[in-house]
Amino acid sequence: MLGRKTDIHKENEVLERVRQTPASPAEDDYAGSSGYRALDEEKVPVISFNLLKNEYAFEINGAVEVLRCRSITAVPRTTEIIKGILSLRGEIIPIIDLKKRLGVGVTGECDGKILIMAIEDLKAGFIVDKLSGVHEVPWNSIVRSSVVEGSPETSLFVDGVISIGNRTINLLNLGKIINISC
Amino acid sequence: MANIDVKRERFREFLAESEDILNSMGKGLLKLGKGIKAGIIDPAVLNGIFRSAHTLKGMSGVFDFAEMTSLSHALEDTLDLLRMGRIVLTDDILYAVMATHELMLRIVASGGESDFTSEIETTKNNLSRTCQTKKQKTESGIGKEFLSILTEYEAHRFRENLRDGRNIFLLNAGFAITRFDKGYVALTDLLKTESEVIATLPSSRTDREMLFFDILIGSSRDRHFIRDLSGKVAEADVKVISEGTPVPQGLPGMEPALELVSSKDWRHRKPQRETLRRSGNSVRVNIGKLDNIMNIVSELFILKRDIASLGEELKRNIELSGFGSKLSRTEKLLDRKLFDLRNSILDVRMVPIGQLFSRFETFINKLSSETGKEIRIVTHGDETEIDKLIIEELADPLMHIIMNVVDHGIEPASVRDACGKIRAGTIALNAYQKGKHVIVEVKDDGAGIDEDFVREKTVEKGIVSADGVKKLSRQEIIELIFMPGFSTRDAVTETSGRGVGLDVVKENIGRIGGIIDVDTVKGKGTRFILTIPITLAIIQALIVEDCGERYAVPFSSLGEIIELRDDPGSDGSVDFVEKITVNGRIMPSVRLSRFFDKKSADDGNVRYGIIVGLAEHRLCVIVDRLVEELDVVVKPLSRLLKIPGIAGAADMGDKGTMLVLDVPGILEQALKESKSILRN
Repeated sequence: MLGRKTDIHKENEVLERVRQTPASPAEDDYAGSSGYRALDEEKVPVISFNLLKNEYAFEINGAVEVLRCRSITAVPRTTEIIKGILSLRGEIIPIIDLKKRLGVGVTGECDGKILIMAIEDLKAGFIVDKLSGVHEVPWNSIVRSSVVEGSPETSLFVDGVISIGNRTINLLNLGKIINISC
Repeated sequence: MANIDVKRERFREFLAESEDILNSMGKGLLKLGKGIKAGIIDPAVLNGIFRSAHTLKGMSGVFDFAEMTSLSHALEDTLDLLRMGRIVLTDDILYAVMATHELMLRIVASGGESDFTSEIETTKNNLSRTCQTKKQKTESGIGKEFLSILTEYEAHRFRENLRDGRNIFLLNAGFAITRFDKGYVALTDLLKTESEVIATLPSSRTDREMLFFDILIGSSRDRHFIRDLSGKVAEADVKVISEGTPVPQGLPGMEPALELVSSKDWRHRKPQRETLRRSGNSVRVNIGKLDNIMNIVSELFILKRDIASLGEELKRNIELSGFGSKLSRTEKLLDRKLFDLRNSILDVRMVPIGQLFSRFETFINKLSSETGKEIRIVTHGDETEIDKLIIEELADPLMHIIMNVVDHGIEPASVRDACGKIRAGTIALNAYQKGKHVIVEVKDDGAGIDEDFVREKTVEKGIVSADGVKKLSRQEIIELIFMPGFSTRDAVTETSGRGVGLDVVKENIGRIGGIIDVDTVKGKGTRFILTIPITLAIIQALIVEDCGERYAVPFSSLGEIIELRDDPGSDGSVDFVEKITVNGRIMPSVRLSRFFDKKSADDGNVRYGIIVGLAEHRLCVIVDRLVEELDVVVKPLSRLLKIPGIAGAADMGDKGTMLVLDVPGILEQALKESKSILRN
């Protein structure tokens, strides 16, 4: 509406491209702008983000959309892990306090971004401090470690550890995180 | 990508259309079944079923839906043999056809996702096996001059009419060229009330202004009657081809109560240009699209409210008060139009509940043959309208109730005989509208629910303690059948007792904002009463505030609203449900925030009690403030969130979301507390 692309738009555009591109040679016009390269079978695209001082990632195929923070309606009689709900184009989406879920802290007022993820038709939103990028990671470089930096809860939800340069990113298991009994 | 979406969309449309066709086929099969018992088979009904099978075959062919194609092909073959009179319709054949129909329904329901290969083979074999018995043709000398020019089907009908002892007439009817089409339809429609139209043949008579047809009919009426009848709409000569002799077992005249072949069904040699136009002006719409429109309407309501407050603000400004009044007037008009718009969309979503009932007719017939119990089904109030989505949500709960009724309610014929009841049990499905709800009743004349038996079982299963059960009233004991884990029959039967008990039924009814009650007399029968909202698409709601949180309370379950000057929460009771006296009637009350485990601010302010209720249950919900009335679109919460007392959330546009109260849920829990059932 403002005639120029905001960062939200850019992030969502990247998501869209990654999800839509089949495993075939990359389109030239995509390659330059986002640093995105073709998918091949051994690589897994992930979307990474920061929570406090640590960096985490989800596999990108579950990513739906990135939202700016907006008002979240609290719901009674549920676990503290559920921050509340918001309505995305008429669909009610629960927002999960990922810091609480991972046992690394509590999300106060939302001041970062909301990452909407989905497993099949089950959607959930996660409040993250900052999105840090989209990466392609060779499967075999993901270290399946049972010892993860963070809290004991964190290791329950971490599938493996990705190293990019000197960054260490915890790859999270969306299914386990979403599986909340309340 | 887009191409695949289009394909999928079309496939979905195909499935929806197939379902409709199968539904009407199911109705036809039922009529046929009744017909067999009465000894009359209406060719129009048989034709209708044949056409359905034929259409299905064609459609599934287009979509490469091999399973459906092969099945509908086999069905079409059988039906063709039947309507041509090459085989006689027996119970066996009817059951084979019904089984095919039922399998098709399941295939469509699975959307091509499941594998039915082996079942299809069995069903097809069954069909062809039952069709072996060929019928002997009896040829008479009458009508030779026609038989050569009639189609095989027409010839068959001609012979059938002869056999049944009807009079055969040949009408030579003339119509003005300019309006022969309407005239022809009017005449044949009229004739069909008293006869069967066997064939329409072109006439040798010609005239510049007139078009003539020879119409061959079979009727038990005499020539004078037919001449007078046809004389009402056309000039017609009536010639007697054969005088029949009445056959004793036949009914006088045709059976006009049965569905007649629609007048558009002109078969061969129709004196009209071919056309691809379909009759009817209906549009098939995915209900999701209507939901989208509803969302927009609800946002418009919110905008309208903003305009209203703007108007009020302007009125307060001395210089601009004129504009303010004008704006308010426009806002009132807008409000009326929005209301109309909302109602029109709701109207589109409404379908008669008969659509659902008719599915159970086939279902009960099937249960009846599976269990060996004789069961009759009667329906009332088929025309009662209810939201299409709710109809779908009702289907499974009703099915489970009926399975329970057949299994536990209806006695075997021998037992019924012994009790002096008629052998066949009756299940009545009744529907009627009551305010903003539809009441659906499943009533049977079976054994009723045995209170002692329920008491024993619940204690045995540890649902209630032996002491606890003594405190319960008769009605409370009966209601224990809705408890999880309650299943009275120990052996798992084919029909019921597979774990999907009445507790699930109750939960599912609750999910659509309904409530279920039961009323039973031992030995006489049981009545399950479902109170269901007419629609969930858009609801009028009262927005209330308690402890700083706002909630929407659906109007449909709202009774009176009272002001509470004294704080009723301070009676020292520790229970979260308290008693309150409203107009001399004592009822349970609950502070809303307390229900939701929030601390209530005891500021001694005037509070409001809103009386909510469903069926005969009443509860007073206490809140701080009444905010406004609003039309809201309720969306289900995510599967991740199952919150007792919350039915869903309403999208308030820019203002986020608002929680919508689940009145049946709150009632349920509060009443349970207040009766102190199962507290130990």
